[in-house]
Amino acid sequence: MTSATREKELKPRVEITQISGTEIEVNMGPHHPSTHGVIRFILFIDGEIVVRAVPDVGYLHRSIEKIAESMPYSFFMPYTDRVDYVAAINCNLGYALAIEAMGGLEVPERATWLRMIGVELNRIMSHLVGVGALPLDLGAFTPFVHALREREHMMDLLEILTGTRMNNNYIRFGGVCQDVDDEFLKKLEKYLDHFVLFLEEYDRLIGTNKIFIERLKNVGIVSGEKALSYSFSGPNLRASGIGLDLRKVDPYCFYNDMKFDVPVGKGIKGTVGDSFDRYIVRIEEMAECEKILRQILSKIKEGPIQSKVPKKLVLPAGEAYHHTESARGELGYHIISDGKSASPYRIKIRTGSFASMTSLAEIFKGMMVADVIAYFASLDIVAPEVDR
Amino acid sequence: MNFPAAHLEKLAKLVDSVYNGAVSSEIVQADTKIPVLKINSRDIRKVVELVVHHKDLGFTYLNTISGTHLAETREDESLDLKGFEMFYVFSNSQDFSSLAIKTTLPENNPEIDTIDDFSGSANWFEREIFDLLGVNFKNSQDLRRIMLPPDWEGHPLRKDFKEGSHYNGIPTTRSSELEAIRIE
Amino acid sequence: MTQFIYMFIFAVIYLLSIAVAAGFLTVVERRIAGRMQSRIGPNRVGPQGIVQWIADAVKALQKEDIIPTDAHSFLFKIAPYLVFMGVFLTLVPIPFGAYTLMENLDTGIFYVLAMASFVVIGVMMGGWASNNKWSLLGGMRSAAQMISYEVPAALAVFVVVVMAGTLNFQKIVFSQGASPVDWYVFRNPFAFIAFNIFFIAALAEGNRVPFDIPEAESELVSGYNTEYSGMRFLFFFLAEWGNLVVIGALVSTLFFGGWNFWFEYTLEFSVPGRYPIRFEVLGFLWFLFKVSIFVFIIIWIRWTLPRLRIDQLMDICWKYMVPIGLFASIGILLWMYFVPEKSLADTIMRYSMTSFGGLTILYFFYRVFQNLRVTKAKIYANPFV
Repeated sequence: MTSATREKELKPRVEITQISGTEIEVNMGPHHPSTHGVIRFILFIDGEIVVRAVPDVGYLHRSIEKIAESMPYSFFMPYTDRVDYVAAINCNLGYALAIEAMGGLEVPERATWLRMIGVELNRIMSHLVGVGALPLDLGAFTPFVHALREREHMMDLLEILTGTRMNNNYIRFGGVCQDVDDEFLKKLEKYLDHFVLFLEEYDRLIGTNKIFIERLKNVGIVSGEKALSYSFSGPNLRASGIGLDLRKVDPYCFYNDMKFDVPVGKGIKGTVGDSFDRYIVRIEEMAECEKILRQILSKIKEGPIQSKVPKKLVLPAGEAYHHTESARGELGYHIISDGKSASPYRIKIRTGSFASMTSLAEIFKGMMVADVIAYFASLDIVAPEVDR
Repeated sequence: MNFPAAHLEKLAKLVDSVYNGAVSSEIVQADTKIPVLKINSRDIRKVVELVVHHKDLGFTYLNTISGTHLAETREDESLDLKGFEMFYVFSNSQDFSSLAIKTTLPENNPEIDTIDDFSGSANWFEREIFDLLGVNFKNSQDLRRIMLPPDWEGHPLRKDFKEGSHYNGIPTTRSSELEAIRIE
Repeated sequence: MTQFIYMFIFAVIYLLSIAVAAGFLTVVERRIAGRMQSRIGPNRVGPQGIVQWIADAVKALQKEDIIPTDAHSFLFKIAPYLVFMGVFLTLVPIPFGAYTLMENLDTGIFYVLAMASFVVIGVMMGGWASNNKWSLLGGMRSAAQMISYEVPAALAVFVVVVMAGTLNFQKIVFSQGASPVDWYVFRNPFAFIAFNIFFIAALAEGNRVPFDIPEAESELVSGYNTEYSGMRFLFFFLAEWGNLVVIGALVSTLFFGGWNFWFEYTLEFSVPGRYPIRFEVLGFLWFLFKVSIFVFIIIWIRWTLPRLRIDQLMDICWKYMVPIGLFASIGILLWMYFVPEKSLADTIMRYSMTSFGGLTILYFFYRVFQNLRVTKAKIYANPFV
């Protein structure tokens, strides 16, 4: 692309000064088909152009952090599923690791491998929802169903691994809740063979579609600098060209031994950090997850899956901030223990979706209504993770 | 990732040297996994500015802002006070090493300067703290409730929060109250 | 008076059969969508679910007819009927056979273009009267889109009119032959361009994907019909699917020889009594076959493509389709002047265009099978079986 046409494309479609000033206020959400749950924007629009936007969250606020203060540490584990129901095991893992770090609990080797299988499978499932809902919001229904079909197969796998399809509550302090046999590992390997082909086909089906590209390229550009300022993390940050992955820079579990790349946005269709980059980064990341899963399968060994953990777990007084890489970015648990009671004194959950939401008000300005949807869908936000 | 050891020792000194002792700070390498810089709450803007903009530090990425209401006396003497504890986590955008800044606020009328001009996301994190804990952020550009409705009374994450029996005429508690389960 | 009664009965039969066709199409569309999305679709009501639409219609009839409190109730009520009327009136001059047509209007195409505008009025009315900002946005988008796309559609129709020398549909059918060589679409390059423009513009006027921005369900909730329920919603619904038939019928009549089946008919043949009824039936079925192919293509596009943004939509119309349409309409004038019918150049062009079209279709199927071979991922592969 020559610089002249590029500049032309990057120019806002309507200069803000040209707006007539007769803006109307429309209420997008909380019950709107494409706000992914119950998130609300108050859009002040002039024709098709958004002059100003006020995001409004909290419709799914369940006070999970307050609930945590009234129950023992282990009782809170199912609640972490509900923080991000699309990637539940990721949220389990973050919590378990934080508690284990505070309490100095041992985790057997096999349990860690099983955790990683669960986490990576769940990450793929979550990204499938993300890249499936994106064309859905752009008006193409079929890719969504195809993505969910694959997710369904993975749910079958997770059902063998954890016993449930969603909200798995799989991880325990010092281990996992149940073991799997070798047959599962064989099934998983067989499925991965199929998944690579599906992923390639899916990207060919959607990622090369002219309308899809036109709708996403140069829409909602978040430069690397801005992404850092908005505390973006996970795929959204990497799409802006910053290759930060907590599995690489702050390894937990056995991610040290894993060989995988961190895909970053390169702006292959438009600018670095546009909505198409966020799509392509998720596609590439699923391929990386598949690589990690294969390495796990080659390394996993027999062994115990649960270490000895006291029934009444009282953590020493102190606090920890522990972050892991969830499907939607940095998932941080700030846990304070008072050293006396069996329940946490305070738990603060930092989620990727909440941080991504902070960018909306500014990015929406000057966008068209259709672009608002495209940008929001490309962020892959899950409402319960925002509100908690 | 742990904060580089070389920087760790320097950091408190750096704060001292830049502000000529006007800002008191101490480094606690607690079991938080990340180093904590304890400061006085009135210096928050100065320290954050140093941490974000200093060429050796460059902690431009704000991970989160957390707050705690310390109402009960606890065993750890460092936490033995009443009031609010603010916990800022910053990360370096190059290697993602993290640093926490911790400060305490009085229980009555907790107030702290806003840092929302250092990071685009700080405003939302502060709003959450304001909403759930009732900490007032001075000079904030947009300090409204975020999770709860604007006419909600009280701040739920305070330890002494009592939920009203009704909200706008809707009963908030059931007749047979489910008791919180505790293992004693 | 007797004539009036005949007309009335005929009109009712016509309306009902089209309504049935539209209802049937909803089931067909859902079944096709199901196959495309590797699921089954409705197959419970009747064999293969073909009477699902009756169940749906009965359900919709039982629904409460809600009119929002602040809506303009009169306009709100009549808007669906206007849309319905706009679509179904366009069917009046379209011939389904030598005799199977409502009225052989001499102003056929002109009449169709005029009647299609009713839809805009109805949609705008429904959008505005609902007193809902999303509906209003949908109505405004719809007005902008439909009025814009009438221009390229009219330009494409102009090409056909120049070639046929008439506005009468029946005469247009007669002036094309039965074999593909005689179809207008393969007569010359300009007509081929006109066909493409007309088909795209018809999609846009019918609010079909990728031009369904007036009802964009992920943006505007449901656009102009957000507030409608029950029977009134059903009218919008019927109009939308009836429109599929209209688009298919128009395209096959204007460019693909209409009902002309296999034999060379001349105008004399259409004189009653000299025309065998079996030809009429065959012609009717042949026409339905052509229509269903286009309907299938429209459904196929709908379940494949994402939606365009409104500025891209307008760009396509005014920056590409209108200039190309103007080019084609000027080109056809020159072509008609310099290349007389049945001349050598005309014959060569017809045959080369036809073989070009045939090869395109063959190439398409080749690509489909190629892709199926390349994609080793079995669509229905369950890893556990």
